[in-house]
Amino acid sequence: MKKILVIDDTLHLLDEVRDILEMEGFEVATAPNAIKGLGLIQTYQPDLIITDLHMPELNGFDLIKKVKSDQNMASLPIVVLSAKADKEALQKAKGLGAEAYIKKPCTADELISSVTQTLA
Amino acid sequence: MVESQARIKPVVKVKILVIEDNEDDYDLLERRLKKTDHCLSLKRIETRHEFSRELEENKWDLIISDNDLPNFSAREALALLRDIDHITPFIILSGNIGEEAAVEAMRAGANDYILKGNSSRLIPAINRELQELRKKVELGKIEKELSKTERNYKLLAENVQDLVCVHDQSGEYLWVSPSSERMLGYTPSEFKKISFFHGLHSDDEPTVRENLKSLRSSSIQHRTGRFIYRKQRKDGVYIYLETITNGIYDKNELVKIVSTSRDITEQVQAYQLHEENEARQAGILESLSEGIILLDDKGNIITNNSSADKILDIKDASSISDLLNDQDKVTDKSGEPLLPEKLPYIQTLDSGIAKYNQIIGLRRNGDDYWLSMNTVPYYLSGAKKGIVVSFSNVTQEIENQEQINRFAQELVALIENANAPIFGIDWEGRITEWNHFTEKITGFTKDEVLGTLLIERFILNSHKVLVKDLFKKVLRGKNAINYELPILTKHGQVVTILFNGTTRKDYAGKIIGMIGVGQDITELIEYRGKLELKVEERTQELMQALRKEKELVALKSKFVSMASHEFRTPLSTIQFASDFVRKYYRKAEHEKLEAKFDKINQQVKHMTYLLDDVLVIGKSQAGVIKLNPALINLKRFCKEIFEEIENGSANSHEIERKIVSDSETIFVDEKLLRNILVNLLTNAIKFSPETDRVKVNVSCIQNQLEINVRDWGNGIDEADKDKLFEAFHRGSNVGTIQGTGLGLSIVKKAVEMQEGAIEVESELGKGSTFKVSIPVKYEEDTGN
Repeated sequence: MKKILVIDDTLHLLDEVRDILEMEGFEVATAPNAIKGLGLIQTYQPDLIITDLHMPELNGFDLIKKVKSDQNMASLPIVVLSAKADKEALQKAKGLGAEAYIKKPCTADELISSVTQTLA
Repeated sequence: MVESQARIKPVVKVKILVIEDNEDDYDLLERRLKKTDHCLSLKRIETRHEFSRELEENKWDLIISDNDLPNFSAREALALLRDIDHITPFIILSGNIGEEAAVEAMRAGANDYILKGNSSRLIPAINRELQELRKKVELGKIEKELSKTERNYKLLAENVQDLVCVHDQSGEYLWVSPSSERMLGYTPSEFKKISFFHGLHSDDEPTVRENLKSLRSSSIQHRTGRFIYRKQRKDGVYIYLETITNGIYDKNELVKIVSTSRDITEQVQAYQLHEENEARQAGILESLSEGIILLDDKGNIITNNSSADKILDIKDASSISDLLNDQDKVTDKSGEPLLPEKLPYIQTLDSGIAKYNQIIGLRRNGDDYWLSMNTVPYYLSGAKKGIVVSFSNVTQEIENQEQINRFAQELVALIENANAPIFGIDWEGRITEWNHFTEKITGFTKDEVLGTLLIERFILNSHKVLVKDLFKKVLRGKNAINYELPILTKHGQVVTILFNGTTRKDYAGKIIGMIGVGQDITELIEYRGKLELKVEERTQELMQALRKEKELVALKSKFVSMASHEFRTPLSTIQFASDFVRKYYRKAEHEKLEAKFDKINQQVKHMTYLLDDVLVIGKSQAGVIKLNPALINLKRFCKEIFEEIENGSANSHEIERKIVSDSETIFVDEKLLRNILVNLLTNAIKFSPETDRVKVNVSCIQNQLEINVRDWGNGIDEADKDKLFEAFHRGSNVGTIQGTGLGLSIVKKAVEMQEGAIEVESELGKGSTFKVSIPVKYEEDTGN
């Protein structure tokens, strides 16, 4: 069973993402911010990370940078789930090494297909 | 000299002295002489000694001398003789004759030079010489007589200052008085030698000659001539001589002329000077445009100049009183009839007191004149001799003066009544003019301010230096144009006049002060001030509108960026929740599905709030929200809100509440009050996640609504406090706490719309207290 770590400061959204992914058969861990998320990567050893960009303290971009610049984590695929709908944010996230970029709001199917495609 | 021989009587005995060493020659001479008619007495001498003795002791009628003697000579003898006597004839007899010797002897004074033995020449010569001698003796007698009878006169003549001369009929001088030297520089003997006409001024010569001619030709005895002429002195200077000639006649024939001449140069010069003075004075008098009349002490006209004639038409008038006849209307300066005794010349004649610049009006021949008259007495040797009346026609001046006076009066009236402040100062800055309008605007009458210092009294301290400089400039001759001069009034107000200063000059063009003309522009200034204020207000309003516009634009752009995040997030949740229900409704648990619907509702509600907030802000920014107060039950209203909030936050915090009101219902805008309470409380809960309580106090006492909301949460960073109430601004320490950044800006708008105030006390990490106070207004028509 593939393990997915979801990081978002919007808790009700975090719940929804977790509920959908669990229904699709993934094992899901959540973190309400990036720092906690980074900690969970070490302990939880996820197969994929879904992260928001707009977060306090350590934002999504910093998180991607840290993961992709760490030899141990660089191979960990990252899916960005962000309300930032602008092209610049998308290019920046991809440039930093994010595998996929989903704009909020999106459908459950879009989320699922993005995750499965990234893992494939 | 005398032509008649008849007057000479025969000589009885002729004494002849013969100088001869040769006795034979002497005898021969004696024999020859005895043949003549003369009764002779002869004596022979040989030596110089003998000759000298004879000359001293005896009187000889004739001397005959041999030319050559052993120890003596005819020449020596002749010299001796001529030293003492020029009359006695001296005949030289010579053995041999040379023409040169003869000429020399004649020059030395010999009467004749005859060859010895030439009796044919000798006797006639002796006769002739004796006859001549007789004449000379006769003349000598006459002269003696003359000197006898006129001795005194001669003495007188010699001592008088005048020049006395005796001429013969041809004009040759016979005698000249010693005064010739003093008078003309010539000694009498020098004078005798020169001709009477020598040195006579060529202009005077014809007159003198004419005079002499008539004197000579006159048959009247002792005719006297008198003439004045110029004669040149020895030193070349001409002097004036007055000469009186008296002819002395013998049997109607002029024989001598006696002349007495007097140096009258000084008199002539004095006379000339006098004449010049007279001419000059006459010229001066005539050149005057002023009329001059000289009156004697009776008022009779002695003389007058032509200007006097021209002005007063003197003509035949002999007395000053003739000048002004009955039909002449004589007035004084003011036009009142003038009695004769008041006329200045009459007064001066009577009193001897001079009068000056007396103005007399005169109507003659239908014309009006004005005369300015001076009457001054004149004195001679201390006695009043009369008066000098001088006058000029000042009609034009008087008329001009009257015109100027009229003009000045009009001007004075104009200034006085001008509808503008007009005032004047002198050189020292003291007030000299103060017209009615100036009185009116300052409240000071002319009498109150005349002579006081304008700047000291009327100019504000702040303007004194400036105005002083300005006045100085005007007093130096530069005009001041349109200066705003603030002037203090009697009542302590300030009126502003638009001031124009002009230099004031006297008749000679000397600057004596300044005339200021103003315009009361106090109202204008006030109006201008108001206008400026209005412009300022309008500008402010415009700026505010512009700011609002900018804010709206900024708001819109902020809204766009916010919408992308704040709306997308709840939408995502809704999307996922609804997808979950649709996708997994078969295998999901019932509770789970229920929760999803709740979540959808929750997020829809959240979005609705969000939209409401945005709308409130948008409306308030655009100024379209209208106050809509109504009566509400404060306690009930608060309770409902608090419950709503507690539920909304899942009862994470207890809301400690205290509601105090002195009336059950209050009159407020419900929506706005809700905005204030909801936003402050949700913020308090939202930003104190580590605690479980917040505190709210609501009180409405004496129409003052106070709301205090207290939390013990994160607090607000000092740097954020300035922008705390700006739309979409979020604190730097909000962390993951969600928000629109609109809550506090909505609160502030709501407070301000109700004319209330909001303040915040906060410390980072310790919590915040928001204090709102709003005045509650009851409309009168509400009946409450």
